[in-house]
Amino acid sequence: MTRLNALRSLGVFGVIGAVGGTIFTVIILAVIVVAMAVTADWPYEARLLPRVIGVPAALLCVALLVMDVARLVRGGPQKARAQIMDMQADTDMPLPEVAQRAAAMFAWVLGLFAAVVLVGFLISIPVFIFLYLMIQGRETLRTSIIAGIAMLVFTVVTFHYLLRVSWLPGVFPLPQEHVIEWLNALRPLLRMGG
Amino acid sequence: MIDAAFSAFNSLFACPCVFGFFPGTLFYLFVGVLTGLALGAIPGLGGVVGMAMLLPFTFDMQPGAALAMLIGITAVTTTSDTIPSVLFAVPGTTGSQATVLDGHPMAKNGEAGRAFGAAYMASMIGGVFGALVLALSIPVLRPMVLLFGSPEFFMLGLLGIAMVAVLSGGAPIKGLIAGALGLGIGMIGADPQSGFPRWAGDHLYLWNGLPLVAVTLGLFAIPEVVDLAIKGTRITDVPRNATSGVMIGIRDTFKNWWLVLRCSSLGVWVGFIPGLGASVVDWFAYGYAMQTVKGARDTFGKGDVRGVIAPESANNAKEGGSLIPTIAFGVPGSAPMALLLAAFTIHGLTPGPDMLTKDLNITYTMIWSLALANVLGTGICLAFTFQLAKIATIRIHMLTPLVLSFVFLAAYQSSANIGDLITLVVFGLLGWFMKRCGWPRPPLLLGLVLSSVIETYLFISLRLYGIDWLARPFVLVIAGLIVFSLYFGLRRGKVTMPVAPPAGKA
Repeated sequence: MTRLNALRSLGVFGVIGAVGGTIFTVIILAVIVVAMAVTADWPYEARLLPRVIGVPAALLCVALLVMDVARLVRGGPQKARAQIMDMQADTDMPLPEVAQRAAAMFAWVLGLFAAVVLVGFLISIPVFIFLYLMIQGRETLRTSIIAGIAMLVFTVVTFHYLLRVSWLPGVFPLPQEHVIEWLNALRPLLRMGG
Repeated sequence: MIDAAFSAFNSLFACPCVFGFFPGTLFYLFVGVLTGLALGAIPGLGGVVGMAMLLPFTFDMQPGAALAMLIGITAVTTTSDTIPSVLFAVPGTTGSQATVLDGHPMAKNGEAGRAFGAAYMASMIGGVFGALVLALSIPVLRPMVLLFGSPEFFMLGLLGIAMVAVLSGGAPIKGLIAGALGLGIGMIGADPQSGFPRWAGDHLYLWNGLPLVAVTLGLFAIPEVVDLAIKGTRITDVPRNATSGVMIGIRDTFKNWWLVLRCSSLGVWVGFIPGLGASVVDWFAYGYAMQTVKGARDTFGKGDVRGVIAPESANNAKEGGSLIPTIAFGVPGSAPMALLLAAFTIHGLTPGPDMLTKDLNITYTMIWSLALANVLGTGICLAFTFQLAKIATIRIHMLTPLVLSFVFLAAYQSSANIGDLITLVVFGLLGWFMKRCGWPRPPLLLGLVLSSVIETYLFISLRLYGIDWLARPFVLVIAGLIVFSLYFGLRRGKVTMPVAPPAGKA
């Protein structure tokens, strides 16, 4: 009970932080179980290896969960974070702050994704850079405009002219189509080939 | 074999040329080196992110040029990562964490230039030493690899994933689950045996499997960019005397040549073992130097140049070591090597016997590229330390949207489909949560890369030998190694290891 009371006192983000690893393991376990369930109707050759791998993985998840829950219930001192062969996250910052900043950053990532899906890369990228620098970066109007234009020029030269990328049209393709028309009209002038 | 080595060297300087005069392979190697140096100097980004971003650009290149560029990136990030380590006590990559311990006190004592001179020269010697060991290992490995058949390569694939998973530090169970997840994700798409679309439903995009570039950028680049933005750290200005005394440091390296060679050998060995690698090699070398160098216990940690030389020679030498299992057995021991293996596949190269026989020329091009990249990287660092240090001081908020946009564009190059972007975002979230929850990501990437190879070798083995292949001597030896590494790794996981400071943080 003391342990549960201690968890309650941490607030929402604190609780998520304390049991976040366990929640993540539960999600991974759920994904594996659902993925295994889907293989039931597959031909033998197709389902053999997925099951050979999936069943032990699910069992390992269960073992990990048991260890996590036992540690939570025991309420002993938090085990020092193990060193892993990977870049490690900074654990010094208070969790609520990390969660808020992460949510903001992923909102920007999703925003860029949505913009690309709606109006295509050539419109989204300069606008995204401008808005990010103005709002999140608190840069000056001049710096934000210059950075947006610079990235647009880089994108156009590298991806449109040199790599000849076939751009995603987007849900509202018209503005990008106009840009592509202008860029293609400029191609002979820039001697980038027809 | 010597002919192939010289022919590969000549091919570095051969056309097709870029801009009409610059030899193609050398040019792309140079591009890779410049990219690697810039990424190494920015704390938080590193070789994996750079390789994943540039991999789509290699699709239309000659295989030699493509691999030279990717090796150029990964070879030198551990050279320029010294700059933020010494000047700001912020490791540029995980490979330069130990360098901070003596490098930064040297900078505080006004000896930053000496630390740079010693680190760069030790890095160059270590890197060239690693390339030399790789070259010398080929005649030794070739007869052995030629004895291997599909059962042995299947077992080697399992060994690679098992070792990387359990040696991923104190999280062996998480490592094993991540490896299994990677294998499962690699099986999405049409089954090579029956053609049945696994976990793909009616989505044609998934029938060919998830694109590796988008997955890698999601797993590694998005979480690093998000974390850089979360920290929002700003490194203060570069001290004006940052580059004075470089020659003294270079002389220090030659005075300690025996230490350099020993630590380089250690680096090659650590690189050779799948699962160890960048995050431990510098600590191994630093610890080894502390145990063996005269008077180290009194002076290490207070600005002893030998404390810089030891980790820097080892972390560059490890690339040569890690290329050995990648090229000879198709077992990548780390995330950059998994990407290199993916580049092999993209360019129609098969690791194993082919790389040591008919594609030997490509193998030697990679070895020359590794050696040249280290020389080039050191030369550029010596000449432009001050400018490279300035890169580390760029405001993170300026960098974030630019890198993020580039990551989106690079991911879209996978198959020019909206699915690439969905994959990127989904794996970006997965990668960030894995990082936050202490799950190692390299085993997932290795599982993904090795998935199709393992499955193909398994079915070939079953067709050719039934279950008799399980009794082949090399199969039994490799099975023993798998059991040993699982046992060793799970036992090691019970011991709490010291927590190293994350890259980008002192």
